[in-house]
Amino acid sequence: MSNFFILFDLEKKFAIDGNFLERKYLELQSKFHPDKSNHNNPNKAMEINEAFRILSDDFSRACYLLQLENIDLVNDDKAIDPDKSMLLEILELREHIETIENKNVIDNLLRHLKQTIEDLIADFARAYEDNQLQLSATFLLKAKYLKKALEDLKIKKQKLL
Amino acid sequence: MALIQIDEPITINSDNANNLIIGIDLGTTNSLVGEVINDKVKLFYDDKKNDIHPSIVEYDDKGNVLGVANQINFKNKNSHFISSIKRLMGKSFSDIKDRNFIEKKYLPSQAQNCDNQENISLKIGEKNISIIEISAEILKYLKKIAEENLKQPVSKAVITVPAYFDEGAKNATKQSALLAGLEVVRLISEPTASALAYGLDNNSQGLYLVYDLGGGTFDVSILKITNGVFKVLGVAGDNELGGDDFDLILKNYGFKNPRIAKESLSFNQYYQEYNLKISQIEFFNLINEKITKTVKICENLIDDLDLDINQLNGIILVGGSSRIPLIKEKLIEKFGEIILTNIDPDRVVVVGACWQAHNLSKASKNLLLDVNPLSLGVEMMGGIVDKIIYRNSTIPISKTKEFTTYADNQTTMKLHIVQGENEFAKDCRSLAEFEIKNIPPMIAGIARVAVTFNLDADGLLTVSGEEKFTKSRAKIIVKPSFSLSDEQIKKMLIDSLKNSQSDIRSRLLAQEIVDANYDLQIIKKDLKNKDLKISKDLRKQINLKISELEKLISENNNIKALQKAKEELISKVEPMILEKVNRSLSNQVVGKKIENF
Repeated sequence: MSNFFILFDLEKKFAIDGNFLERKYLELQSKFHPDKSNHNNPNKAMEINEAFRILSDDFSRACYLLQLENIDLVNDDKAIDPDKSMLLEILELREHIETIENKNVIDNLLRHLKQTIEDLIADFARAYEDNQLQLSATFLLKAKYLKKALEDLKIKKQKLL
Repeated sequence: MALIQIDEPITINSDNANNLIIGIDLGTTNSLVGEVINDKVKLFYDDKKNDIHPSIVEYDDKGNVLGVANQINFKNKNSHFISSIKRLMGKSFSDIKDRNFIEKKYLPSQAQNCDNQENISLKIGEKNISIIEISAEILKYLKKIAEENLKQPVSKAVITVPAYFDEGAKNATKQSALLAGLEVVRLISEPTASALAYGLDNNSQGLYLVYDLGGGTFDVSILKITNGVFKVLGVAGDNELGGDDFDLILKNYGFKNPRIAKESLSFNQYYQEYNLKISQIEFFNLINEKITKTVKICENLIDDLDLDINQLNGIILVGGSSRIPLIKEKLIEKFGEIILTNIDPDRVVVVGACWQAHNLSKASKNLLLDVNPLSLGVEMMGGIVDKIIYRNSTIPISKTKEFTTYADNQTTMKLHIVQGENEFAKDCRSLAEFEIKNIPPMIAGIARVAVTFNLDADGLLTVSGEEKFTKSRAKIIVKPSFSLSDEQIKKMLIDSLKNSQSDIRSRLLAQEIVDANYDLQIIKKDLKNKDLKISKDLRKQINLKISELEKLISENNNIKALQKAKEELISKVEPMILEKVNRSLSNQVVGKKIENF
């Protein structure tokens, strides 16, 4: 079966060479973008754009690897059972975000969240390479919730402008 | 009579006109047009040697166009001068109901709702004229200037639009081009065009930020340039912040001519109007808050894209308002001495448009990868927006998402498509609504409708939906409800052809020549056909007429003589054609039953 890793001549694993990915992307688009291509197949350019978007972002690439194992955290809310204490933690965080009004506090929390998400993705990668798919998915699910909180926080920051 | 073509149709390449694409900066205040010739951008001048063409159309009381750009005569007391039309592109009447908004944003004061729908028209003398028609007048004028400069017909263009133009405004731009007889090969965003202009002129590599402060809007774009590939990483901006705001501040300060005051304060320490005096420092203090906001927006975008300020290789300034020295000061303070100003901010956009036109018409290694500026989504139960394509996604892009029914036995699903970053549909821009019908009755939540959003390389959206069990489909090309229908466009095209004879003279001539060449090719072929009996005398007369017509074609200027020569030739060959038709028909009839004929 074809997948995005094959499209970019990459091995199917979490760690990838970002520079190689980008070079490959530009090479493919120079061939298949509607401005370049006489084949008139815009779908190919769309697929390349989507593949690059997914593979170039650590979180999306992690989710994609699990999708290839039939665990779809992106579209399926019931892909895995979330841990109750984790849910409570997220809930508290979101309540906390509601109350923040200070820009410096927001900036600090943004940094903290980014770091936590990075760590969770690293945890995911280790579990995934060990073939512990369910465990890897729990790390990624938490990262997903934190990412949503991060986005909300960013919007809040923009509104303070 | 017309020639009858019985042989296989022959395609004739009349000339290279099909590959010719011009670049157009269709600006709020000024428009520019040009083309890349011998690897250099050449801007086209009017007969008064101006390459900057004010985006103004002069109408008489009956709504006839008297002039465009530098043709207009402000001394004409009875004329209506329409400017800043771009601010109304793609807007609905409800967008501009507030008359203060019209005044603040320098919108034409004639703007009104003439047909009780959402269309905005301008009441010009006795006539109501739509925004798209007025914009088309400017494009027609630019096309004419290009044709006069190039001495050949032009039918294709790359046109620039603000990065934050929504679907409605983009579609309106395309429609007005169509009305002007121009096929839009590509719409590109103005900041992207600027980066292209800068990057190609300097053979740059790396990360660039484009700071574009126009009259009405502020756009910022970050691009990565790698070996001739220009990839837009993200765009942001503020639709409600522009040079006009500074005018308003000066107006409130008491100045009668705030624009002149503003422009003067960019270069002088003081400005005085009668007894009222203001220093540059005071002016900067007054606009400081707004400028600070634009810098914040730049910082936020850098943040959003997970980039670091130190990674930027340069900042490109675009738009007349970016000349205000305070902007440079603030940007240097934040980002360091990386401001690039070696391209004139008034011409940088059109230069980029010309390069993109060149890239699309000729084999070129350059490639532009743009993004969509605003998220696109569907309204869910409770008015919440489910985003399908996120902002700053590289286009073209296609995304599919599944939706399900809300109630038991629900057989139709209504999709409301919106654009914007807000969580609630009511705060976003409504683009279109459509229905998927014939969903088989099922328990709520079982039916599966796959909704696909397709954004093409112009950033124009097509949405389709498919119900998975019955394969019931619906598809819609998203046009806002207040845009013109294809029928209206067609009618306007016909009307405009009737009304502006002189404008289309060159196009008619080109068409006439194509037709004549076509006829000549058929006639010459027939003359060689030994089956047709042609007297020596007639053959001689026909050959004479052929050389006459060929001479007129090569002269390429006298349309009347050309038509006459063609008619004379055709009347000479008429007997020959009739014989040909006759033979062809009898050939077909032989051996066929009458019922089948």
